Amino acid sequence: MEILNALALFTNFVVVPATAYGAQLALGALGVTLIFGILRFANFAHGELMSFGTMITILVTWFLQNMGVSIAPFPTALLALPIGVLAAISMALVMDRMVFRFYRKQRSNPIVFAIVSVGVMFLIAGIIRIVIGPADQSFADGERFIIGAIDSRRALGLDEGIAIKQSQLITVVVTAIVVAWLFWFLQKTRSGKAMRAYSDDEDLALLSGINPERVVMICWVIAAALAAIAGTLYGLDKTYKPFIFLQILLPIFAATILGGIGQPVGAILGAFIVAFSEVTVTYAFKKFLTYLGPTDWAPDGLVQLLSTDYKFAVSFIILVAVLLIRPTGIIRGKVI
Amino acid sequence: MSFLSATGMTGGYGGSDILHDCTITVEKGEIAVVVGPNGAGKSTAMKAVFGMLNLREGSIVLDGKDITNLAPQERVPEGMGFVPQNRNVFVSMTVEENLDMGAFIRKDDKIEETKQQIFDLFPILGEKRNQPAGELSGGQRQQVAVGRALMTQPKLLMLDEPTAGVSPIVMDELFDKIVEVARTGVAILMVEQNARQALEIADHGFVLVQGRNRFTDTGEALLANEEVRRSFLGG
Repeated sequence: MEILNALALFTNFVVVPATAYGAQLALGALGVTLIFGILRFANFAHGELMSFGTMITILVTWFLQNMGVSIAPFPTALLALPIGVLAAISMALVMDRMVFRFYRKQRSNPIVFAIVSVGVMFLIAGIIRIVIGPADQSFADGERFIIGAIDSRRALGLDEGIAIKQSQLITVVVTAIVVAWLFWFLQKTRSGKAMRAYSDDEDLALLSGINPERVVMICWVIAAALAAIAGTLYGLDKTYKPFIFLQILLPIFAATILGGIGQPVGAILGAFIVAFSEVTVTYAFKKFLTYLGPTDWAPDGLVQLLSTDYKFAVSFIILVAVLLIRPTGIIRGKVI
Repeated sequence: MSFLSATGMTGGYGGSDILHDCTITVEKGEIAVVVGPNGAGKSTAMKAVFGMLNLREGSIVLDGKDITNLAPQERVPEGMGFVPQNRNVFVSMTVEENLDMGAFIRKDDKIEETKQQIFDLFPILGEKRNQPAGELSGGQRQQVAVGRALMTQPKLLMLDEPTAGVSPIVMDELFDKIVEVARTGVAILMVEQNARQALEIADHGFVLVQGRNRFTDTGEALLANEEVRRSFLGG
């Protein structure tokens, strides 16, 4: 019983939240890895693109809530999400047309692109601060829990329950659908194959008559759509904090590099490794060990390896370790 | 006028000229081979025909149409197929996907038919159709590269040293296939390091030295020419 209680506790506080967080990171990392595969630069503006798509989703959600539109028990944000996706796509395409295309024509160095994307990042961040402000926003409605802590405790017959929030389940389901679609698109469709060919060898793709501008456009559309979905799911699960999208770049980049840059499968793998590492390292194992240890014994401290305030350090350590030990990532990707 | 006539090509990659009044012509169904010592501008001449070089002078006419000012990718729909020397396959994609990419610009519904013809020509590609091209041997990769170019149904197929880095047996095999392709009516322009073997299958040969035409004749005549043999074919 004690072992089962410990497992339930671990599942509740580590496995479930890390899975949801990993799925959100995966969508973000997929966008970054696609941009790197096609446009060959690290897009620092990706976090703010997520934020922008989420902001539009929130504004539309509020509008719908005011109009009395509801799809309870599901959150209204799901209804607003397509508009957020379209907004993020428009933003990405406008930025590409106004900024990145100029440097593409110049055949600029990837480092120039990366620095330019930092500029775009600040620009989008500024727009977001003007429109919705810097404060936290809550926009989740609908049923909060799929399985509550008390219900699950009763069902399992344990002292510890496994609670699953609706936002967590939605995150995992939406991510599974989006990822399945993405892989189908890349493997089976003409445009998807053209993207892979272009990522593999730009010159040879040109020789085959593949239009680079079209490939770049499709790439932005997909990356921006993934960004808006990732940001909205993250916002539903936690709350929407405009400032978090600068910090979240770190775990997303760590996941991308860990998985192998330009490798979609790697991005997903990397995202879950980063998410599980972050949540495990910052979890206080005191209660968990109390269940496993001898009766009437408890560890003195919290047995927490790292305070949650330092959770981004985990991504940073992973990032440094990968770059030192295996710069190509788990699935051999490009080296930056 | 020949099917392809690239006449009086003069130019380089920027700085000084590499080609000087260089002329290359190919007829339909014929094999033309460009040979010469290292640094003679063989590959440069081929790149010039494909538009990857800024020509100061000269013109390129394919099937009666002047294409001198077209970008390389615009020459593909005009009927030019180009197989670069290096990096000529999509290594992360399967053999079949490589062929599909070759057919990217085609809008007709006969793509599967062409693919079957290529599998007939290169049976090994049919066997390995689902394997990533990056996992194939050098000779097999060259077959994928030629197959990819043939999928566009080119009127002129250009090969930049197709036998570089393959064994003599594979080289003979590749040359046999190239002859077969030419028999279907495709004009073939080929740059070759293995000059003797290449001239044996060539209808016409162009010997370049320092970017200039030195000898131009039928393959047979060049092989019989005492000076060509002594200077360029090693005796």
